[in-house]
Amino acid sequence: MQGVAEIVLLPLFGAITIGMFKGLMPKKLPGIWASLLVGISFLISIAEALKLSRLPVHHRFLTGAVFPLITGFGPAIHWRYYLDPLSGLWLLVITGVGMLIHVYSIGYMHDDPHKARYFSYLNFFVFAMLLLVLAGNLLILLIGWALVGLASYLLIGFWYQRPSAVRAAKKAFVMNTVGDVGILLGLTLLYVHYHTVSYPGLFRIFDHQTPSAFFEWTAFLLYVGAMAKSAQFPLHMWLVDAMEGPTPVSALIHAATMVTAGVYLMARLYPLLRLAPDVAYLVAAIGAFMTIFAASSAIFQRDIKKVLAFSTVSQLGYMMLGVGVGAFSAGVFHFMMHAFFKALLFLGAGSVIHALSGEQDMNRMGGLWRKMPWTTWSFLAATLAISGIPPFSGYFSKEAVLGETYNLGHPILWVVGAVAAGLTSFYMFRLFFLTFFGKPRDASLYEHAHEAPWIMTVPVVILGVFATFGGFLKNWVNQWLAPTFSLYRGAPHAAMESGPIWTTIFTVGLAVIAFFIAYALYIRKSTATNAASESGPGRWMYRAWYMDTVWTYLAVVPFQKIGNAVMQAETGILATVKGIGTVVWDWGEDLRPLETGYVRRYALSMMVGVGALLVYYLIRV
Amino acid sequence: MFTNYTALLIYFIVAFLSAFGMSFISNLLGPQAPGGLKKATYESGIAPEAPVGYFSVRFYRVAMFFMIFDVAVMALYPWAISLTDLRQAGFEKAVFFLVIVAFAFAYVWNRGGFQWD
Amino acid sequence: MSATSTMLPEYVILGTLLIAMLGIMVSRAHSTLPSWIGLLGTIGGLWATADLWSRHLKPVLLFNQSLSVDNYSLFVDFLVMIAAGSTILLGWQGEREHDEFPVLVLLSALGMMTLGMSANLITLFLGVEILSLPLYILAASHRDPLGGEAGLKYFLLGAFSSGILLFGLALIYGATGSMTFTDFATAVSSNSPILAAGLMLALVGILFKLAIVPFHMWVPDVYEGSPDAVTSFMAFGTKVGAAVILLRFLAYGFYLSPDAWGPLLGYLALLTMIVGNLVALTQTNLKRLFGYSGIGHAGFLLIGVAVHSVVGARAMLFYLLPYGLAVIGAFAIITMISNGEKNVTIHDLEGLAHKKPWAAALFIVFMLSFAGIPLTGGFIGKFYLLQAALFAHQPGLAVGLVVGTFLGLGAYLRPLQAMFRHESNEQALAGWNVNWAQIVVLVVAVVGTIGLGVYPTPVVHMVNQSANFFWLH
Repeated sequence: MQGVAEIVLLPLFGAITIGMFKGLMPKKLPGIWASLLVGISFLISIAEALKLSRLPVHHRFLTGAVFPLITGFGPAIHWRYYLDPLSGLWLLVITGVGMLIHVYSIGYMHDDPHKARYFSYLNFFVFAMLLLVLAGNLLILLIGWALVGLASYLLIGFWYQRPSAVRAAKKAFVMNTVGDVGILLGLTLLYVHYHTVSYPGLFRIFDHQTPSAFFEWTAFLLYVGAMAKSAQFPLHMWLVDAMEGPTPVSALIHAATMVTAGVYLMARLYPLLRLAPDVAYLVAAIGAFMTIFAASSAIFQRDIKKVLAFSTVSQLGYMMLGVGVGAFSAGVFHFMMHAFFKALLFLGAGSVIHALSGEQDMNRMGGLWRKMPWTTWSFLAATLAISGIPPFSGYFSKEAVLGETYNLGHPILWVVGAVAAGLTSFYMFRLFFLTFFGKPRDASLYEHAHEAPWIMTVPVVILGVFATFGGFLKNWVNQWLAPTFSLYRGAPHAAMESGPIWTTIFTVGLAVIAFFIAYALYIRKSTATNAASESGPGRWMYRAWYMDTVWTYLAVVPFQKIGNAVMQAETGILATVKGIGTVVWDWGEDLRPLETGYVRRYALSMMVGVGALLVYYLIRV
Repeated sequence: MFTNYTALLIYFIVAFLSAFGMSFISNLLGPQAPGGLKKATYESGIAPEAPVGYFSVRFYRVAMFFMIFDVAVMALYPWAISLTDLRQAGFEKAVFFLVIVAFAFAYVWNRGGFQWD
Repeated sequence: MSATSTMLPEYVILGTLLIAMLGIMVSRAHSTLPSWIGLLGTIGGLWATADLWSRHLKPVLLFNQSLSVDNYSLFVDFLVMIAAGSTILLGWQGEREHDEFPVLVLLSALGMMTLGMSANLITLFLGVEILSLPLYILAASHRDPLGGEAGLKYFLLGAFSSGILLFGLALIYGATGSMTFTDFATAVSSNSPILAAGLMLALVGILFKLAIVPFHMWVPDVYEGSPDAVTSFMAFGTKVGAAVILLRFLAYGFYLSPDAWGPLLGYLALLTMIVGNLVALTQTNLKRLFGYSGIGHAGFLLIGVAVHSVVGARAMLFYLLPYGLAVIGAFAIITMISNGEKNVTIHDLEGLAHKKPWAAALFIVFMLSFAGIPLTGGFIGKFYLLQAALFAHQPGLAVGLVVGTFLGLGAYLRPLQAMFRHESNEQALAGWNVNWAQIVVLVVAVVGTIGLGVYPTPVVHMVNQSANFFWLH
């Protein structure tokens, strides 16, 4: 309890102190203070993880209730925390990677006049994310879930001077709230049925249940929440727009931690997925679809951050694929590796953008490797990792996911994932070559480019080390997660296994071929960055399969129309009432002492209501 | 249940019909020559100096105060009749009531409610 | 226990009212003396309520069974004291030229407290009228066309609804031969058409005060025209009064025939939640926006009554507090922006996040509480209502609640977005003005809102002891 509370509350303390005393703080203090608190949180997390590892295998979790949140009207729901190997892994990544990104932000936000506000939000985000992960029941999870949404809203809209940033923030918030409502409904159903929402309580009950429609619905509602947070179809478009926020925010929230909350939730609820096989398959299928959809959309993007955003969506698809088919450890392992290499990619991209004073268009980059060696080589490590080239970290996790997908009898999903892996390699090397190699396409920008200051380079290099060698943690992660997935029924194949050797060769082969195509196109032939993007399929992919447009026509426009229609209906009702009024109540003209004359109509609308109720009663009695 | 109240019902109907009937019938039967001078404030040809036709708002104010205090004091009639039964307790309550009414009166006076100008 | 000691909060308010009038007489015009007296009086009333609460009294029936002093009425006293005190504070500066402002607020509060205690038809009607009459005057207290229009509209429609209410009460009395709520259930069979008609008309009268669709049309106009502080009082206090009397009236008088009103109120709740929040989406004037969103919230409250269960009653009673706290907090910020002068629109919020980050942060908290985002009291309240709807096997109401919440979120996001927008008009925050009274209200509101979201247990225990209508289910 002691340690857990401090892990969560230290970042909150940071957010509050910075928020309250930012006027008094020297300019550099907020960044240092915020990083320090997250760093302490990280150290305590390590201590807690060690404590956890000393517990017996069949009882490897720490839980406890602090005080009641919902009580009195029925079964109580407490502020409950729950720390087991699964949440422990997330804990370490959030605080560890979070600390590195905080440090990086000190350099990145150096010139921003509102950096105190920035660090306050960022610390608040870490608090909310830790609350989400350490929650001991679904309601506390939902609180964290909504608060990370709020933090993300505030950080996407951080540069509120840009209208596009504000629009993107709103989109993210609305889509995430759809997810919140899904979780709220799901947990309320469980609560009304089983009178508990705590993980151990629910899972013990689930152990004695058989699959049924009720569980399918509940699992689906909870999956809607995961869908919104982890950018799964059809609630995925907000993530790409979310790149309007500062780049370290994209690294922390929209790549490494928050967007993986859906993966966490689905992995956490593995006993429920056993009872809802259809939803589990849906999770896997949508995950596989996202891998190829996002990868194809990334190919023709020109904005460096957009490429990375689509690649995040694609990689989230792999995690969901792993969780959906039952390869829980593989999905979680991929989350961990992804946190390393994707945070690195974003931070590297941030350094590039920083060096080019805000330029994000790859058309105007090129040849930067001479100017920014540290960034380039770290970036290369991450690119190799995400492309799944052995022995970099991504190879191990992606192979684990794909191999088990094949092993567990989903060959079609495997094919989709493997092809997407090839595409990933292509668009990532396209990005890498266009940014760092070739001739500089914009001489003046190139002239002023410079390596980032050490405070930004050091976190990037540390992440580079992890992105390179992280794959060797595979066995450790396997063992570490085993107690979580053996506690309840539902995860017989949680441990990572590799598929047949030919599947690995196939995937890696595709990735290597894609690398050579990218090399041939963008280094040898120096094809223009936006070649073929004007062709039909190119435009289709560039616009992300036009899904945003479809969304607008299917959801936003009708919604606006309904709103207007109701407004008109109200006016219409008033007009109708006025019509009745002129017939029935003409002599009541004296009742109109005001400019508008609406009073009479209001009164008449009341009378209509009274009449309706009267009819209702007459029918009933 | 209507048997007990039939007379009352008839009374209501007759009252309603006669009240509304008279106003409508006069409207129907009366000679009507709308427009022109009919709409002028005075038909006798003298143009009005200022918009007239309403009492001053102060008049309503004083009338309202009169009504309020009059109605309040009216509650004393039933009290006076049954004072012998109500005894001490009834007397105290009426005094309390009168103190409140007097307080309100003093308040209105103090705030200038009775000043014509 | 004598009447004097069990009704101490009411007597304190009555006494405060008279002393405040005395204060107006002796002090010079536009002094703060009446407001100070009123504020001390509400604090005294709070203290008296807390004292009575801590004695764990058994319910007492007073004045020939016309008033019932129990935990329910005491909880209502708490709510009304918060509403009245915050209103006096919000009007500290803006309504200073109206000397009677605190007196009228307290008088209206007395009507709300009467509604909380009311146990028969006479006190019901008396309470409604004592609540309404001062509000008619307050609504018109600003001498501009909008204010006059608001007051007159409110008065005319209020009188109209009072007539309907009175007619309904007379029919109920005629059908049952009794004035006391608890006699209705046993007096006649519930199939009597006169009783049904009476119940229906009485419900219309009360639902008008609660602003349930289709009896809601007056709300936006009246809210827009009234002074800010008065609007916050209407949004909080009037809803408290109307909701608690509706609950007591039905739970005492008609608990044996829930089919006669449960489904009806359920349909009205659905309609109200959807229409209120949907129309709120299109508003630009903040007070109209809160008017329509208040209509939506009235629909949420009605769920608790419509499910006719003890859980529902408690959920409704609980929801009043987070809703009211968010109202007074949001209106505190509106008074800061408007400075008693103009009607605040969404565009006046532009640049607030930039220029006044603290006010903006607090405004976010209140909006999120309205929207029901976790860690605010609004979320806990909505959770209880959702739970009540599902426990009563009314999934339709649960879905309506969720849809209404989602629509409401859209409405609340618009002011937030405007707040973050870069200031395009320089006039936006020209009238910004803060005084200590508004800050007191803000602190109370934000501490309450977040406190209820993190640790609602004490209030929930109070609610549990209050809404003990166990015979409902």
